Amino acid sequence: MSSIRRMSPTDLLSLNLTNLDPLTENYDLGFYLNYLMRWPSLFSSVQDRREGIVGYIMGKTEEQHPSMRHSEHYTPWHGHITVLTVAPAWRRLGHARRLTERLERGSDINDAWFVDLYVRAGNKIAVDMYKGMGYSVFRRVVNYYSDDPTGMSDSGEDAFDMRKPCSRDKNLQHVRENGEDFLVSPEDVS
Amino acid sequence: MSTNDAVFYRRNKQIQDAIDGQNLKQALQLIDKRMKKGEDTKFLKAWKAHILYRHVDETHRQRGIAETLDLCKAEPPATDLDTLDILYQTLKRMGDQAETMRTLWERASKAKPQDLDLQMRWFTYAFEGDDWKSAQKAAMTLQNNFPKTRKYYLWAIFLSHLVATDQASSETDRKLFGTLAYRMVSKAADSVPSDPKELLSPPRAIQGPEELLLLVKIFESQGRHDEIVKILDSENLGLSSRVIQNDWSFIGVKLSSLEKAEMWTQGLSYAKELLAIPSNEAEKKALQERDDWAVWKLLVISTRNINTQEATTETLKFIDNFLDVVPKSRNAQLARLDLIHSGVVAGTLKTEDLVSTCQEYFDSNKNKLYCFSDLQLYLAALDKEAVSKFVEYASKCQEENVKNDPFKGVTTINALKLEYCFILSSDETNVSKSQVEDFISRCLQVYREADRPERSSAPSTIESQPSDDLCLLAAMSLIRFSGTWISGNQDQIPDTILIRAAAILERLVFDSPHNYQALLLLVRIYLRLGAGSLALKAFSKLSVKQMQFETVAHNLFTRLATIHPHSAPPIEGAEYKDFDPQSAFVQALNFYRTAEVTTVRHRSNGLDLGSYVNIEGTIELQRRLKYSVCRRMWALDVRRMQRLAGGDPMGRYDEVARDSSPLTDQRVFDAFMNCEPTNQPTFEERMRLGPLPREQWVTSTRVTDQLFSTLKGMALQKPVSVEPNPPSFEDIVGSEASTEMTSSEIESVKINLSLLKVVSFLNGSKSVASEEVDSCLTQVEEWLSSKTKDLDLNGQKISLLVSKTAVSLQRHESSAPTWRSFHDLYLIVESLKALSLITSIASKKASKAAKLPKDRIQRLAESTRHVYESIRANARALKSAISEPGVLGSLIDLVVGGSGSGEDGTQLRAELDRTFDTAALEMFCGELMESWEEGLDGLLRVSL
Repeated sequence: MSSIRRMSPTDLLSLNLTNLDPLTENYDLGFYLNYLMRWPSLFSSVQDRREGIVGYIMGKTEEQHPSMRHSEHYTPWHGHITVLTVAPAWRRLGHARRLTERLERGSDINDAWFVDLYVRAGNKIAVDMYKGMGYSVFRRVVNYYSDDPTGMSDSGEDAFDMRKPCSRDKNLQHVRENGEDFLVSPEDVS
Repeated sequence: MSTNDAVFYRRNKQIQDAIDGQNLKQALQLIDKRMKKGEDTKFLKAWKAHILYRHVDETHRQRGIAETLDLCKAEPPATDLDTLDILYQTLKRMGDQAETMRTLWERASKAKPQDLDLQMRWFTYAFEGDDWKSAQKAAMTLQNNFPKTRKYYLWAIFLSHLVATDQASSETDRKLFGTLAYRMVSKAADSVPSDPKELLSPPRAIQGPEELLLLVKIFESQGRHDEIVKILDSENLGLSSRVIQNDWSFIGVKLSSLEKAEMWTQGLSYAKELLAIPSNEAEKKALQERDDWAVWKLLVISTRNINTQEATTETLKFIDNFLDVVPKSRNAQLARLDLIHSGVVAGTLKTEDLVSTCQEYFDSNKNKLYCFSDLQLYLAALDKEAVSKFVEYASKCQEENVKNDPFKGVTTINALKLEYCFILSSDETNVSKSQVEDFISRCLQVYREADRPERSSAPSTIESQPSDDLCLLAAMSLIRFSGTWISGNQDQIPDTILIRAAAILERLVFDSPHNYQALLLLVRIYLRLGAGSLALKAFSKLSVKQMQFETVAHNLFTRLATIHPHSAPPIEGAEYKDFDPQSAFVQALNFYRTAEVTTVRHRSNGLDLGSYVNIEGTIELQRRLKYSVCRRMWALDVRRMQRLAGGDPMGRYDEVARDSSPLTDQRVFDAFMNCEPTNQPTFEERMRLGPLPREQWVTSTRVTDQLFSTLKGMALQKPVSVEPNPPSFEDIVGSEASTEMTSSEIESVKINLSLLKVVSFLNGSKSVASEEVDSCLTQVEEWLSSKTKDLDLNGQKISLLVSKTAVSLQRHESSAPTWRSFHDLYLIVESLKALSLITSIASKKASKAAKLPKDRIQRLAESTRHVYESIRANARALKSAISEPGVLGSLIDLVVGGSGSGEDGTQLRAELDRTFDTAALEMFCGELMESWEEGLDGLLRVSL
């Protein structure tokens, strides 16, 4: 009994079920409005008939600044998942997959090479979930996150840059195997 | 910058500096000097008129108005941006000059049709100032004068639509601009080439999905839903066109348009088409997207509206076939339930059909947490016996061994929720103590048995577990049903039970630190118990910020000013807002202020990006936040807190506090667990601290705020603006007041209004006669006398007022305050503070104010002081009662053993013993006692 639809600005008043979860960031209003204005088709929500919004995805299409084109780490035109969240009681029902597929389709329409996302290397549940949806680790961004919730490191936590190719990447030139071992610094990807 | 520009800038700066320094006379002199030297420009004239208008005295002001209006009408019209800017700003300050402002820019644009900056400035000012009509005119001018820029044409369409849908527009304007928007956007749709190979489309043709969505919005506002369907079926703009590329959003638009146009036959056929059984892998994948409730909803509604036996049978067969291929489809199963449910309600199908379909649904979905709430609606249609049988059926399906259950005991959780809803809550008057105890025991037993992730593995990522619901259910049923045998009233929640429920929830939060349902409920429980510092602490774990100040903060903030207005002891590593209510309220109010700027900025950006529908949504969001009831409440209450507890001045919220425009309300309570039957109040509603404040609460609190603002002005010997006619009590507090105000709040506003009248009289208001002041003072005297009696300790441990509101501990030998105790006492103290200020001002020898009888003022001052001291005595008595020996032990007994009104059964007692850790329980009780003491210390710190 759920439905996927575009997010509207007034929906921002109905995000309690997802945003009260501590792992979902509550950004300032301008951040959401920027996405709603720039990439309206890549901001979708899943609505339960009785409970309201129980998940959403917020994404964009972009490429790295042209000044980085010479770099071996240059990131070309692609779709990016900025936020993907599902309320705790509605997890493992396939909502994340449906939301992601919708963003992937939107990125495909916009001629993107791939869709990518950043996830904490230690967040095994999330990494496995994305792998299950066809994403693979492209590279490890060392100390990308300034904090490390596991307490394993003093200098922060690594991020996995995970990718799934779009139909444009017929030769799969923007994904690689064993990306977990391909280390880059945060400056390379900014 | 050229030399001339530099000189011009320097000279202007001198004038601006004088204005900024409030030296308007000097600013005028500087302008006159330049004019005399021959610089007789429209710019200087406009500036001079502006400065004249800003004078306080009426003569200069009127001259400013006249000169500004003359300049606006002058021929040839002003066209330089600086002059237009100043004239526009003056007109804006004058107010009610919308037409003149529009004409000013319109004439300038006519005079300089190729001046893009000028027309853009006009458009920007009008759009940012929410003057849709003027912005529409500016957009029309832009699209006429700059036809090669296609966006101006779309702006003109969009602005016409905004005028047409604005409630403030006249009926004629709505019709006129609605038709214009419809015609212009239809033309844009017609211009789209039907041949997809035609790469270039005319500039004014619709080119992308956002523009097409604008068309949909315009057509919807005109009620032309059938035309939307037609367009979405067309070649040039249809679903498979180059513009849409089968974007799911537009399939959703078509579905809702078919419904709104009541095209049932087409709707049914379209839904079936989307849900057709796949014949290959690609179709199978596509079906995953199409198996969406929006599609099924249309299928069900269409079938229902076609309303023939044949159609219903066919649709049910269609669903069965679908389920044969996709047996797990929740949507398909619910569509079947929906149709059978409607058949039973209409009398065309038998109850047994619904029972068996519900059972089938339960069998397929019992391992999903949504199962209970999905079934709740349909089960409500069954009679008591059928529901009981169903609940029994669900109970039998429970797992034998929850520990090894791969679904983490969800079947049992669903069965227990069904039992809570349909056996306990639906029959609340007959529910027995042993029934409830047995239910709670089973919840706690399964909770203990359920597997949980290791706490130490990754504390920051511990997810809430399904079994968390069991502790919540246990706490909720204690709260919900204990009233029946403790106070003889199931609607009255015994405070002692709240202590036990809090202990259970604290245990849950230890295991599942991020469970927001538990944290929210804990916040309410602690607030109700008068443990403000613990409520703040629990709330801080939710890390509420940004938009949540509008949507979540009300769970803590509502009436906090009269429960815990002072700062709690600092929490290590926490921000001030986590323990200091004033800081929290200030942050919330900062959010609203920033939101005003942010929304305007982004909706302007959206115009360039062409996201028209989201701009319209942002305008609505901005309106809702601007007029939010929460914003108004937080502004009024942060000022109240400051009055009671001290702290930084809150003058910056004067404007919001005084605002009397209509309110919007976005408060939702969806994050609370609720298992109540659908026709009964939700659990959250039962847990509120008094009725939910709305318009009357805001109006009455504004009276109190106005009273203190006036008194503050008088104390500082500032000129005080007196309301011409203070409102009557009936104007503020209507007959329905008790649905949003507590009785103490109603009493408080009554007294404060009387005091406001006295203050108005002291300020020389002609509308308050001395006879009325006399009656007001009599009312105040009577109130003081009744409070004296209510608060009199008379050798007892607690007064009458406190005994009515406090929670009895230690088998009625000692008491602790609850929210009602603090709420009542703070409201009295607030009125006493006002009275104290009045008596002090009125008794000053040099006072220019109207006089009140000296001896009466003296008596009032004495009574005020006496009531104040009684409150302090009560607070001290409560404090010493809490710190009496044995209280901690009594509290622990109360949590484990019950309320003292009949012992708990052995089963529950044993379960509670196993659930609680003794050391943790001791700490919980100790913290509760500390919190009560801390709350009372806060009350004792309030001075008159």
